[in-house]
Amino acid sequence: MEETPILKVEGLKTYFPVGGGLFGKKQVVKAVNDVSFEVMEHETFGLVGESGCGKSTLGRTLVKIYEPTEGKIEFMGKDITKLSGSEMQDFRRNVQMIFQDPYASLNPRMTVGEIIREPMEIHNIGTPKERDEKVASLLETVGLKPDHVRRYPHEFSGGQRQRISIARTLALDPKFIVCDEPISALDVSIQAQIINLLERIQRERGISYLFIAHDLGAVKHISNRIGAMYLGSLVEIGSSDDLYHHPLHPYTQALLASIPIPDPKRMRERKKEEINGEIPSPLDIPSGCPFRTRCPYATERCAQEKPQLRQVGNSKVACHLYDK
Amino acid sequence: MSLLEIKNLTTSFATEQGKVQAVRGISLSVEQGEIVGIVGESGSGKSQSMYSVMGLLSENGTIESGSILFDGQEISPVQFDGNAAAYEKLMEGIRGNSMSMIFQDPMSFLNPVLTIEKQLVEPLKNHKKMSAAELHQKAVELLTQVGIPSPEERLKQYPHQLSGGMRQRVIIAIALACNPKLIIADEPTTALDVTIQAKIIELIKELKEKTGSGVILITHDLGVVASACSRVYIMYGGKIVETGLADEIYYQPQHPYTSGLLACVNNPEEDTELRPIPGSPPDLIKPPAGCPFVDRCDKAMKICKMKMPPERKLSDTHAVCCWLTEKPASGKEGE
Repeated sequence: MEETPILKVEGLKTYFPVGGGLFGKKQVVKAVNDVSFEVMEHETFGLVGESGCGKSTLGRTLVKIYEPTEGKIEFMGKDITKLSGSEMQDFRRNVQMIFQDPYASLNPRMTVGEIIREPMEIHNIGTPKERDEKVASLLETVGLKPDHVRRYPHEFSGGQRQRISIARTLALDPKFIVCDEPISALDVSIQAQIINLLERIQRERGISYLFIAHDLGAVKHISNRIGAMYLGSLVEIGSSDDLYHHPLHPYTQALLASIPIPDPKRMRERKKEEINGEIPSPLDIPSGCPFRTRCPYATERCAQEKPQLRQVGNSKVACHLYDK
Repeated sequence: MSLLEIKNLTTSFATEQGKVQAVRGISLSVEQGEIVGIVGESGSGKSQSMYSVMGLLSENGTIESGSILFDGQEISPVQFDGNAAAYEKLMEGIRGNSMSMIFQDPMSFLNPVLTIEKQLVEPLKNHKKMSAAELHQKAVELLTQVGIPSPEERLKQYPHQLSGGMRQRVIIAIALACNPKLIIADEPTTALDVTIQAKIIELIKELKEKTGSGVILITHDLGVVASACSRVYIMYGGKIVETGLADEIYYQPQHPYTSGLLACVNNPEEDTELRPIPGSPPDLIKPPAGCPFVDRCDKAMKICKMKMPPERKLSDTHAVCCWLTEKPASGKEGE
């Protein structure tokens, strides 16, 4: 793994105002609440957490679908919140996104060829002939047939559609791809196909991924490092081995203890869950540590002071338990 | 006598493209007090086979043949010989009463404009003669049983005031209302987060212990099956391709599809390479004459394409449909 960061995020906050109508009270959803991390070149950084934890909002803020409320996002050394017009075009070309639902993310009225060619047309890359060649080679890369080029998305299965959207993402030779739950809408036997495809593309092209998913097994498999998110905050960052075998934060521990493992004997031996309750509303994030309302080890201090990410062993964790 | 015994159930759907043969002659049984898993990918027929049992197929769906014996009573519409009214009358007495269903998406199952209490007592009103006070008492009991704190207040609330996990608990409470003998749970945890999922599975197991009901768990998640089920049916292309005790299925899978499925699931505790199954499931408008898995199977032989393999019993509990196991000399597959 290279040591240069391709993406550097510092103190990122993305808030959404809600309510505030004639009678409503104005409130703020703190979807991403002070997050800092780096993604290295050629690295896959996994992001896990339950629904509503802000992982998708974070991914979308990084590709500038959402504007950050506060904080800095540096991509290849440039702050993307302050880009000029042409720099912005470069940024859009280098950063792409694969979406969760391959049934919703492909235009049903465009042929596969048109879908894959469109990014090149928008960015004015190559002659029409070169574009055709590129489309053909991309179809091959993602494991589709050349004659699929004239077909429409509805003729394809979910896994094949996800291949089409991967081909579209690759059309501009990006350096960084945000994969937002790219496999969760697919069948199990198809998921592994897509994961292996993403891994092969990374080996061949040296792309960095931010891989967002709630399926921890898949994230573990594909990621070099993983960040666990809870209610808008990153509570732990570590190498995928460290995070799985020595989780530090009580939330990461609880999350891992809840994954059902395809092994009946292990499941019979497993101790019962000790995490309490459910995730609070992001409108009303608990004071101090966001996890304290469900944490079996919570103390008074957790309610008063929000723990910051700090180095513990090989990982970084935001928890007062590790304070010495 | 088994609680539920299905024999040769065939269900099809009329569509513009042609007749989709969703369920192609499956046989299975469920005993009292056991949790049985039906595992398969989308389009394998796992949900439609159970909707056939409940009599909940959509308009264009028909049960073409087969027998469904529930608690000693024949409930397949085929046996009613076109007398749809008599079949409906019978099923109305059974559905939500002695046989109930837990659905996947708690938000679309609950009625958003009715209070939790109204929805909870609905099956009781339909099937049991109870006074208003008894109904309320039972509603409180049910919510307590599924682990919802302060049930009195919750009963007055509407579905949107509850979290996803709570809503799924309410749905389970509704399914339990009339003390059913059989509960069919269709992907009950798929829409939920992992920490909540673990709790709901625990709850289903606990309730089974307490009530002694039989439970059918329809899912695509082999992890969920491993944590809950004692027996498993693996479905593919409208057929049951393998069945056995959970341990037999997980540790001695015999069908290439079963072992393929296990090999492409991420087990976070082991760092094995993912081996995907190439290709995609068969088109059930024109189902293959032979084994449905033949096009994706790396051990396929000539006969696999032509003839569906017969079911072969490997033990009292373990059975598989695969030509590989028919050849005694070199028939070992998987580990």
